[in-house]
Order: sequence, then C-alpha cells, then structure tokens
Amino acid sequence: MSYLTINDLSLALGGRKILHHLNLNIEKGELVTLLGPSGCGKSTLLRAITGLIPVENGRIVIDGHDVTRVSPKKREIGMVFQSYALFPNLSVFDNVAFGLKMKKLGKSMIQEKVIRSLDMMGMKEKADAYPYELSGGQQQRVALARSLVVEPKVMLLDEPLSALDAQIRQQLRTELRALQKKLGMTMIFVTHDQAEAMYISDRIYVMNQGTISQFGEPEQLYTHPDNEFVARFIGNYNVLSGKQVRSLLGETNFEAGNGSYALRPEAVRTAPGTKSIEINGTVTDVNILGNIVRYAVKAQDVILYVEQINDSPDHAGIGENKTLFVDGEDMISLGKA
Amino acid sequence: MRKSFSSSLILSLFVLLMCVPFLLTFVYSISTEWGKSILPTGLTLQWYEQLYADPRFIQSVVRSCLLTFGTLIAVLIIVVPSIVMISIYLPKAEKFMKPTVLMPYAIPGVVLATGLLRTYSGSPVPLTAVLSGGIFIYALPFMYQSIHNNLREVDAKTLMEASEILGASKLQAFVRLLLPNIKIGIMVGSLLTFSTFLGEFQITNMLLGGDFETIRIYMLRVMKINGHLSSAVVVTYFLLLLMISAVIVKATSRKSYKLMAGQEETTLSISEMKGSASNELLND
Repeated sequence: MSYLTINDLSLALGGRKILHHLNLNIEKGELVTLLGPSGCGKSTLLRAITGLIPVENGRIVIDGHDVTRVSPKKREIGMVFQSYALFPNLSVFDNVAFGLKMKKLGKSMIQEKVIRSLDMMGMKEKADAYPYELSGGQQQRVALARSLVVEPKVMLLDEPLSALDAQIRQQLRTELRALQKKLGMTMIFVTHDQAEAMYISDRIYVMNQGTISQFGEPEQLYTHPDNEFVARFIGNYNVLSGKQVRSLLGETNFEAGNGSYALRPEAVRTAPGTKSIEINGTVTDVNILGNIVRYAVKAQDVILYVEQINDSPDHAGIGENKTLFVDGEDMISLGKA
Repeated sequence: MRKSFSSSLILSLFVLLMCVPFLLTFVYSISTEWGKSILPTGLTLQWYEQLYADPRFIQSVVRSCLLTFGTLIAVLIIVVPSIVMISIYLPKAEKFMKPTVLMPYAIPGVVLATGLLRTYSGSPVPLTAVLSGGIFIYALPFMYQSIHNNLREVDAKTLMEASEILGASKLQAFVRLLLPNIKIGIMVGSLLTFSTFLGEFQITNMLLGGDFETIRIYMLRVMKINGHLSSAVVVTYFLLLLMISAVIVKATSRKSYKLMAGQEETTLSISEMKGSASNELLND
C-alpha cells in the first residue's frame, strides 16, 4: 500500500458535485503534482486531504492510518497557501514557532528547531521581522519554514508560487525541489501551470472537472497523452480528427481511423526524415516566443501549429509557402471518436 | 509649491471651520455675559464651579458612561464572535447580514422608541435594559462594517485554516490570531459606538426621560435655564469623549505592528467621528 492513498473520494460543496470518485496513490518521498485548469477541483481535493472540508464518501489513508474522519490538527499535514497566510501579528520567528507551541514543545527545543528551519529557507536573518516587512518570495519562504518545522507526514502546497514574480518563482521552485529531495518529504503540489508541473514533479495527476484525466511521469504524459484534454493542456498539441488527418497526409500514406489524433507541434519538421510525409501549406501566423518560433500553417484547410528552434535558416513570413514533413509514427491516436 | 500652498490653505480653512463652533462654545462657557455685545463682557469660571458642584450633573455623567460602556461590552462579547463566525463559516449568510445591519439606519429613533415602549411597558423587563438593547441594535452597523472589513483585509478564513492545520483549536486560533489581527476593526467600531451613544438622546428621552437623566437630557434641561451652563456641559462632554477615546486608542494599539494604511484609516475615522459628534451636539 502506498504512503498516501485516496480511495473512491467524492465531495460536494453547496449541493454541487466537485470531486467524483477519485483515486490517488502517492509513495513516500514523492512529489506529485495535481495539474488542471482553475475550477477543476484540485484545491478542493487538497482541502479534503487536510480535513478542512469533510468528504462525502471514500477513504484517505496516510502512513497506514485511516484519517478520513480525523480532525485537521491530528492529521500531521503541512500546508502552504498561495496567499502565504502568515500571521500578521506575529514575527517571523513566532510564525514558525506557532505549530511547535501548539504541540507544547519546550522552549529551547522550539528555539533550536525554528532557527534550523529558518536557516534552511535562508531566512534566519529575518527572524525578528514582521510579515509586512518581507517581500512575497520571503513571505513564502517563511510559510515553507513554518510547515516544515513541524515535520509533517505529507506537505500540501496550494499554488505556492503563483503569486510571485517570474524570476523568483523559478528560483524558488528549483530550491523547493532540491529541498524536497534532500529531506525525502512527501509533497502534493497544486498548480495550473503545466511547465511548472513538468519541471518539479515525480508524477503528475491531470485533473479535469473533478476527475483524474490521466496520471504518470511528466515525460510519459507529454509523449503519450490519453485524451484530447491532456493533449491540449499539457503540450499545446495539434488535435485533429481522423478525416483531417486523412486529407493532410493522404489516405494511402497513413491509415487513419475515425477517432481524433494528436500531433506535437515540434514533431512537425521542415527537413524530410526516412519515413516522413510531405505537406505543403501557407503560413497564416508567426509568433516568436524567444528561443522558439510558433507558426500556424494552413494546409488542406487544416490549421497546423508548428514549433521550431529560433535559429532555423528556413524562416518564413505570413503568406509564404512552407513545406512540412510529418512522420506517421508521431500521430498519437486518442482513441475516442 | 503652489499646489502644497493651496492644499494647506484649504486644510487650514477646514480645521478652522471644524474648530470655531467648539472654541466659541468654550468662550461662551467662561464668559459672564455675552448677549448684547460683540465681545463677552467678562471672563469667569463660575459656570464650571456651579456645574461640578451639582450632584445631578455628576450622576448624569456616571449614568451615561455606565449605559454606554455596559452596552459596548455586551456588543463586544456577543457581536464580535458572531461576525467572525458568519464571515468565516457562513459566507452565504453574508448577503442577509448586510441589509439586516443597515436596518437601524432606516428606522428613525422615534419609531424604534415608540415600538419598544409599546412592547415592553408593563412587562417585567426594566426599561434601562430595553434602552441598552435599543442602543445595542443601533451599534450593529458600526461594529459589523468595521470588523467585517478588517476580517476581509487579513483574509481571516485562510488564517484560520493555516492555524488549524498547525494544530490550533478553533478557540486558540480565535484568541491568539484572529483577535489581535482585527483589533483595529474592533477599536474603530467601539469608538464609533461609544462616541455616538454617549450623547444618545432620542431613545433615552422617549423611554425613560427624566427618570434616567443622562448627560444629554441634563444638558437639555439646563439649556432652558442658562446658556452659559449648558455650554460648560458641552465642553465637559467633549473633553470626556476625547479622554475616553484616547484611552481606548492607547489601550488597543500598544503594539503597532499594523500597516500604516490601517492606522491612517483609524485616525481618520476618529477625527471624522469627533467632527460629526460636535456638529450633532451643537445643532440641538
């Protein structure tokens, strides 16, 4: 049995079904991301794990203990919020010490643990400061220290980086991942940012409308999406119907079924491979995203998105012709009609 | 430069406008006679001596303070936890709370007093308790608005969640985290309540009148006898209000950890309050 198991969990809020029969298994020391668009129920799932929202049916088991009906404070869970949720009336030190004081630990013990935890997050110098004196990134570091110091069994992070500047976000996410590996901490990370999820996770659960759409390692999710939702959400895939695929590639070159197909934008190449099929189209849009150029190419009345590294010699402008090559093996069948 | 000059000019004029009635009241209260001449004919402290020697005056001050403080304490004990509960756990009730707490504004004091009289006269409930209840109702909007805004500002729901996950009980979280963070809201609400109802007249007069002489009823009675004396009452009333307000502010903001924005808001509402109280008093 896994370290954290969620079994057939359903939940409704105010008469509206939010989560439907969810199953999740997380191993000890693993960082799992719940990824999905806003409103998919990922934050609600997190709150159900903490016990802040009661569940309708299903079981939550942590480290062999069924905690489904246990109160939040007895679950030994840590949580970090998007809004930091530091206590404004307490200093950084007292914020971090709060959980330990609630556990009624001795004063010298608290002192030692708090300082160690602040030091780990690089916030030791700010121990006497108040939250309003800190930047967003610093506040989130303190919030992390506050949850880590009580040594929870599982740490939940509800979009912890979403309120931060891009640069600080990237720096903190690298640090967070390093720290998680070092401590062997079991973490559930919630985000709507697929790049962040791919970067940080051991495994990703993609959520859509209160259900798990697909789960697996980042690489596997990216290269083998199970359904259209995952294909569109994870990789900006081209999602084409069987008919569109037939008209693009020709019926003789590729035997397409009636279901839809996904094609990664970077799998459309400008140089021919051994088994590639040639497509001629007209460029309708060009976006430069820094190191990547994103073309929209119209061929056989189908718009195909193509991504290329930005040093390609065959750069094309709007209205110009572009010859593309697609390998039939890169067409991923999404199965459903 | 010009801009700051004109803005300070406007500000000075405003301050002057606010202060002149009070200053003139003060001068009137220390003049022997000021009726047929431009300047008072002479200065004296006899009105104050006369006022402070009157046991009925002292009693009326004590009554007013007891009534207002008693009601305020009841409001704090009952209303503050209720507002916190509603804001955090019953967000759906919020939309009923807004119009409900505004109702006292819609009902004129005379109507409320008449209603209370008809309902409670002859019942075993003492009318002083009924009066206190009336003031309690009138204090709701002040308390609700200031505390509710404060709770929203500190994101009380998330704070509660964070503290519960860290192992605090709901009561611990309320006392150790929520109360200190909504202190400013509570203080503003208390000051507004206090300054408004220390001088409450309508309900008190209708319900109890001369049987329960508060500072305002005393003042009205004295006004018919001697203008100088009633001016002395006004000045005393003001000093009392200022003093008590200062004590409340001092007592609640010993640790000023709060953002500057919060404090500015507070000082603003205190000065506003003084202004409105003075206008109200002098208009009667």
